[in-house]
Amino acid sequence: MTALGFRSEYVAALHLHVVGGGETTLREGYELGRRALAEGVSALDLAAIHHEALASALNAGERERLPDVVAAAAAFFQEILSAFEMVHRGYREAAVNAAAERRQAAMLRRLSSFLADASLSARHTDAASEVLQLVAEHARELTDAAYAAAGWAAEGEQVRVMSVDPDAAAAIDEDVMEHVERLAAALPTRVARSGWAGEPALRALPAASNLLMVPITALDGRRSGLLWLAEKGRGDFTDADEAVALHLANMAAAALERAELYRRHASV
Amino acid sequence: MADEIHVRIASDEDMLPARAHGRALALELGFSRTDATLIATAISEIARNIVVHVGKGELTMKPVQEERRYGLMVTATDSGPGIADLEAALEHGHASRGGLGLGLPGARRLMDDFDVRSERGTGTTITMTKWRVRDELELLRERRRLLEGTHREEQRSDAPGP
Repeated sequence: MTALGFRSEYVAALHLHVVGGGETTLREGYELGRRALAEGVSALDLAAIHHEALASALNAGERERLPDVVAAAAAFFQEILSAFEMVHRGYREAAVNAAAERRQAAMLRRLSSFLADASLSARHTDAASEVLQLVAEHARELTDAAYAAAGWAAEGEQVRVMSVDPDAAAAIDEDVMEHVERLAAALPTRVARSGWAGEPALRALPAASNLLMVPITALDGRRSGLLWLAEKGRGDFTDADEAVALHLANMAAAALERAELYRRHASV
Repeated sequence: MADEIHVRIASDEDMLPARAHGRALALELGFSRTDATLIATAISEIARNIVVHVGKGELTMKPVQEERRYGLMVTATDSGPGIADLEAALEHGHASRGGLGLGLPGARRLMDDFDVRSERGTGTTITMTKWRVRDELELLRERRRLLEGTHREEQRSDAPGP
């Protein structure tokens, strides 16, 4: 399709539409818009072609019906641009995703350096608590959850931490955290908002919400704790959220083991 | 509120009634002309997808209502071979179209909710909805209409019989 061919097709299609078109001629507009996109006709060229076509329709004797012609031409132009809108939304989505990935990478780098520090705390439980708190806070921010909690137990010691969005209605108390940890094995990794009512075990949590749980697994494969997130800001937890949470739980496990090794080394 | 509308899709020409019904229903539900155009475009893209990849299928359009919003739900079903790589199909569309983001990903981006269920050998069901939030004025007017309705009912039942 040459630019000239496209232009004359556009003029003809718009003319047909303004003299008494309907869905048939609007569909022609939609197809022309799609073709313009495939052929690389720019939005600026389209605007110019449209106005030339409109002027041509008015010269062709439609001047008396000016308001009707302009309204019909506007509807036609919207059809033309709807294909561009689709593509434009795709670019915008890609830009947002790229920004989110950059932010995620930056946060993971920051967390790595924090964990290297935290694992050097003198007392083992202090180190564990710091590690888990950092991981819970980062997990909550990265998955856009209102609540993040982590529980961990080893050699008779037990640590529980919680990170709550400052805008969240209420905090979750220790009993609820213990309750979730106890039930974790019986629940699926993710509970969607729509599935909440079907999990009576979750009654102890503040409100109908959604949930994501990942284990904190020690290097020897032993399950030493649980990282869980509740109430995602928009929609339900996704595959990507689960992957991020799992990654953070693994970072926590490595940091906790490192802290334990350091403690043993220091006590020798 | 309008009933469900079914349109069989077997060729490009069937896109026309699907678009017309979708647009009319959108305007009836109070969507703007711009949103009605976007709905017609999304319908065209999934209808085209059926024609190109499967050959035939059906579109169902129906209004959905929640307290604070009206929606137009479109369901596309086919009994084709199913989509092999759903994630790629939703992210990039069909590679032969140059990956511009038309087709399924285009339709997904024009609508608010978009869900695809596809099983190899059984077929594909796409459900997509566009929502229109009902503002305070609209809700107020509806409450008033309902109240007036109840009031008239009461008056009728209070009136002495013939």
